[in-house]
Amino acid sequence: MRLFQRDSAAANFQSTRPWAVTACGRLLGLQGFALIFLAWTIRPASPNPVLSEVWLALSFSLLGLFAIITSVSLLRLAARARNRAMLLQGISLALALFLYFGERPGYIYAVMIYGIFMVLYLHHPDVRACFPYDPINEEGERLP
Amino acid sequence: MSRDDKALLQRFEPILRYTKGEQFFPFDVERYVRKCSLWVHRPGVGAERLYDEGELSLEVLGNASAEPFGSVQYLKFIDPLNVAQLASYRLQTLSRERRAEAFHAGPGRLARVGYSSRVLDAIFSLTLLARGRVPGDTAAAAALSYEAMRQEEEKYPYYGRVVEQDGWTVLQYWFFYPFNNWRSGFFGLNDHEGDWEMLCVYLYENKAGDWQPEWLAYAGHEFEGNDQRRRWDDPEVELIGEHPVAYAGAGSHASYFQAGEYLADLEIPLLSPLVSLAKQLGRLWRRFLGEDFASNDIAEHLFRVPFVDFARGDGYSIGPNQEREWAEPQVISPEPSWVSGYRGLWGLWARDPVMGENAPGGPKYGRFGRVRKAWHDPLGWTGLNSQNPPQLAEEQARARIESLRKQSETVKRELVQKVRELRDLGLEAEAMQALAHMQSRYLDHQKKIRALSNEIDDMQAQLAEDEAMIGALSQHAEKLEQGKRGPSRAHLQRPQVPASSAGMRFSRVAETWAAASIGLAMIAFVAIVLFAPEYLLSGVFIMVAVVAVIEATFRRRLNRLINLLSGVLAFAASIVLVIEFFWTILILSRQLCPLGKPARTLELAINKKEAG
Repeated sequence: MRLFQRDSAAANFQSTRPWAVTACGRLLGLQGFALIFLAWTIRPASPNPVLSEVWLALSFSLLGLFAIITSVSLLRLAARARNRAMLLQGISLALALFLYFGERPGYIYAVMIYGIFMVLYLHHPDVRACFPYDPINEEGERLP
Repeated sequence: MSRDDKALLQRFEPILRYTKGEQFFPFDVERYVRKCSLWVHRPGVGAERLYDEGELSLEVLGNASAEPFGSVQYLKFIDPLNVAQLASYRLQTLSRERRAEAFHAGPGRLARVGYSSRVLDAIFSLTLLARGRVPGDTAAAAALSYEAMRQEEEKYPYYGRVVEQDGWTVLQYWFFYPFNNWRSGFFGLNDHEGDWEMLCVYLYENKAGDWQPEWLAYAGHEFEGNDQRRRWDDPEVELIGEHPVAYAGAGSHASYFQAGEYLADLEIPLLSPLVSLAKQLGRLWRRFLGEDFASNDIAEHLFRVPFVDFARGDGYSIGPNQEREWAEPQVISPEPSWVSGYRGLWGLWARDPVMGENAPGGPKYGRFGRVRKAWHDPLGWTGLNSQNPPQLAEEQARARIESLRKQSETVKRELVQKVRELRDLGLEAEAMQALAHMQSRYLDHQKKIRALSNEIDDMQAQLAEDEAMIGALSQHAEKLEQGKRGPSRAHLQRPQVPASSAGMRFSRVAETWAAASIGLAMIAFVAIVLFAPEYLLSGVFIMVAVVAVIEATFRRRLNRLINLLSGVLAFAASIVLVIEFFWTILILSRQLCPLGKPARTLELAINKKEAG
């Protein structure tokens, strides 16, 4: 007997999911953990931290969490997962650009490179084909 | 067949349906002209009154004297009201509103267009202060004067013209309105005194000798071309008996085939480079990212000022068996002197450089005194020049088949001759092979053979194409013989369709937002500049993002906006990376790429940099 029995729905996801979507989902997961790690490294150490440091650490933590959730929804082919992934990239790039015009810490370049790569990857034809703009169900109703 | 122009015009005369709240209807030019004064503005001299109100008649107008270059002749219908008169008029309007006769705009033009158009609209409205324009209370004065004249004698005339052109008989129905109050009455583009509108019915004489209508064209906003016309059997054409129905735009009086609210764009020539830049970016976006939402349509509408033309058809109707009927048509073929002799404007010349507020020319002449295309070439005006009238089409098709057959016979005869020549050359070339002393002649022959072969190939291709064309024409001629016709809407490219508010989730909220958003954004911008200038860049970015997100939510385009913004941010970030790591990228590219000429140039630059 197998220790982890996958249900049929999960097996179906894997069989119908293009490799590009799988790769994208895993890269998003990786991005999520990296952002949380980044938040941990830049967390304020002093007992009286500067407010901007707290905000920054909090923002990266939330982004990381959002990335992990989006990664799961992308791998499960949820209706609006690609849009959420795009939103995540948009926010992380906007944050990086905001920091570039301010304190300019070294890690923002890594955030930018990863963000650009993910935006391009999310435009891969297979990924776009799996997640149309306005998904509708079989009855022709818009999905939430 | 002997032709009675008046009877023919009456047989197909249209039914015009107006929007509730319309104040001006087709009017008698004779009575209008008697109420007008005639003016001329000469360069360097200024305006001079030639005839006072009451002195002018159509006959006098037709004999108006020629004026020097740069002069503008114009009629002046009305003087603005004084404060008391205007207040009294407004009170009357209020009482009318109580009787629910007035116009209600509903979700207006601003809710239907994007924010770039709204910013342009605000700028356009501001330019009205600088441009010449018809004063706002002139519309009220015109409405009062028109109402008084209408009560003296209520009749609705039109001016009919019958023209023969290349096998077609064209019926032109010209309508004159004393005033266009599109801007002041219906949130439109312009106001002006005098307004000429027209619609055309294209007839042919069938085999039984009866007049058969085939096409119908409605004029509107000086548009022309294929999209202006519909075939008589088009489902969009509404007919009551033999009378086509036209829906007149409120205040603008432009005619439409269907009832509805039409979005009319004003193109600003100054911004055309921006439009083409947006189109180029859209193409790049599509090419590299495969998205199709950055279409040319968006780019075209991005920098235009939008206006809604309300042609609801819920007001009065004028036409046969309607609540108001046409007066006896006044035939203007042959042209009376007021049509052919007067080249001036039919109302006030407001000195508006954009022209929208200046009165139009007459039925024959445009604003610059040149003959209108609709007048001198009614077929070309709607792109009908390429269409044969049905009674001639079959005959024309058979004649064309005959001519193509003759052409093919000639080509075939020439082909036989050419093939013979080619074979002779081939034979001679074969004979010369391996004879050293004939090498130059042999090479010359080879050249001739190649040229002749190409010529023969072209002739064979032409023969094949002609055969295919003869086949297609024969089929078409058979269809025409059986009375069958092609699709009625094949000529249409971008026909005007009524705007829909279905895309708006909350029309009232959306309209309120549309009206307030630009103002709020401007207030926020001023507040940032005054109170937090250090956050100007990020503040403006956040403000624009908030406006865009709210707007996109109303339009159900949030997903597309997120995609677009992410793409733009990725592009901005890549520019930052290139700026920051330019030399690293160069060194990497040197190591990764093989050394070609460009790479060597790069290497020189890098060495220079390293040495420096």
